[in-house]
Amino acid sequence: MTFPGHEQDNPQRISAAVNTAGFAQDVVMATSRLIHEQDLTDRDHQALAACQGLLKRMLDSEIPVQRPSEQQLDGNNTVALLRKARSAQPQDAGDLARTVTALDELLAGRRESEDVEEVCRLRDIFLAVGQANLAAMSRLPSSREATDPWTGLIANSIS
Amino acid sequence: MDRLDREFNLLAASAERTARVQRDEVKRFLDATQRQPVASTKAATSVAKGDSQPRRGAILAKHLHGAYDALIAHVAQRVADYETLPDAKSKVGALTEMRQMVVGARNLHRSLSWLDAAGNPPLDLGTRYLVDQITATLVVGHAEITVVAATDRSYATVTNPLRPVFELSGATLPSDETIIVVFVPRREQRSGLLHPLIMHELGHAANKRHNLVARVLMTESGSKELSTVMGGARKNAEASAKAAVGTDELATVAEDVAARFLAWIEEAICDAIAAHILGPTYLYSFMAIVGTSDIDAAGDEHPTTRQRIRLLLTQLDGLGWHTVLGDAAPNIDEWFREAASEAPGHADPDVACCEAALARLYQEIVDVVADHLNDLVFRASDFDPIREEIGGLLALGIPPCQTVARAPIGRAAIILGSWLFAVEAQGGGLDALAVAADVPELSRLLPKALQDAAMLEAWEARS
Repeated sequence: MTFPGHEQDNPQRISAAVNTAGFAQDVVMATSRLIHEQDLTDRDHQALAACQGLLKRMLDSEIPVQRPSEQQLDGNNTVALLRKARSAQPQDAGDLARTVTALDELLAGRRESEDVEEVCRLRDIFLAVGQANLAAMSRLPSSREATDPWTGLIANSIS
Repeated sequence: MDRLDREFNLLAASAERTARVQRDEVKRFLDATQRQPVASTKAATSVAKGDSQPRRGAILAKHLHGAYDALIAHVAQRVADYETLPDAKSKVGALTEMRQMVVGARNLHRSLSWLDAAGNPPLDLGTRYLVDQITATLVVGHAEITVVAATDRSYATVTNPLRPVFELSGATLPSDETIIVVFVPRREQRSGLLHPLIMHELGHAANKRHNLVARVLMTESGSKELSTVMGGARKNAEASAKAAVGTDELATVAEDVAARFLAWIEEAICDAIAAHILGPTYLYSFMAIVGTSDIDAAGDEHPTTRQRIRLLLTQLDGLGWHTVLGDAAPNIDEWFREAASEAPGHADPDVACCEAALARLYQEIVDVVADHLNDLVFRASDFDPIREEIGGLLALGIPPCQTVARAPIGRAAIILGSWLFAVEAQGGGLDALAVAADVPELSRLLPKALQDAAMLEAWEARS
């Protein structure tokens, strides 16, 4: 559920994209510290817990209709970008359940090399999420000029 | 300091400055606009006696100010974080994020124009009273609504659009604050007969607040239809793919189709809300704007116009409007019914699947809407006895706000009476819908009638 190109200028979606940007970098920072055996901050712990939640959500084939609808937009934005990044970089995509376990192992202080590699791949995926989010926000899809920003309709428009 | 570090510093400074100067504009609005005493009981406990806030747009300005504060705090946090980053990859991530902060802050610039609209509302007073009152009933009593006459978009809505930015720095919006921004096309800001489209937009705000789509999906039929749509999408993707399809691709296809289906349910709910509140008026306003596009084109966010007409007609007939629709504007009614009778069946299998599932959820949608609206429903029996009187008053150039027997006329009846008057004045054909809003007498009579009717209703409620 990525945002159509003509809707990137919707302030609600811009807000969601800004939120996604912050979250992606939170995960990059937290996984970097985890990889380098540095102490994690509270924010790092929160980011990794949220990341695991998101990965588990992606494993679930059902659409969670009971979540507060206000949070769906930014959550959907992040999940859509994650799936896109995983499809574009299958070498880094890994198995979602395996990634969740690898995070658990490293957080518990157990550092098997394959778990560290799995978390490295997760970080690469979130770096790609940031890039894709930036491209969507800037409306510069691969080597194309930006479209006229003044012609779009926005979410919840009547037609 | 290497190249990455210097570039990061440039971007951080730019993001901070963009947010800061835009926040300064919000401060100017807060300082310069017309003010009134702080009235909210909750707010009164946290402000000094005699304190004041802008007459309009106070919460919107507060949210904008808070969002820029959150952005500035986030940038400062990231500058501090940057010093502790352990390797080049994490620095590249920081650089990418800061570019997004610059783009995001600059894109939020357009929301400053909302404050201009709050200070100088584009709609007539009668419509503003109506919109405020419906918002309070439909969404929540304390919601602050700002209508913006925009040159870059059609009728549209956003609700609490800045919430995700607040959350960047761990802040949350106060639960007793809701801002709704409704956009109307600049050219239509004086087209009273098209303002009913705002009711559809308020339906989106009601859904955000009251999870109406979720209530439809949580019924037995709702969850079944969602599963059917997602399962169908996966099968269609596998059938049409030439090579093996990956798990993420399949999940993306299914989620995209599910998102479309959810968006369509939301649109059908918003249409139903407007039709229940305003009766045939909504169908006429809808056709005047939406009906000019290809009525069989399906969008990611909207069902086909043909399906929307079909659903609207069924609802209106259910509320007893069949005879009024046929009597008052027979040519138009005939066209609607012909358009609705054409069998559905889109060529795209995913669209066809969503279309069929939406049709099967008709009753669940109507039930959720009727339950939410309670006594806000406008029925033919409310209109029939005063229909001719409203037309007669308009013909005499009198704003139809009360009957000859001095009973107040409801505002939904005033707008519908005005629509029928305009359709007749413009020849009664389908093309009359396109030009009904131009009938000159109505530009004065309709806003005045709505304004006076609001006063009368308030007076009646007091006595």
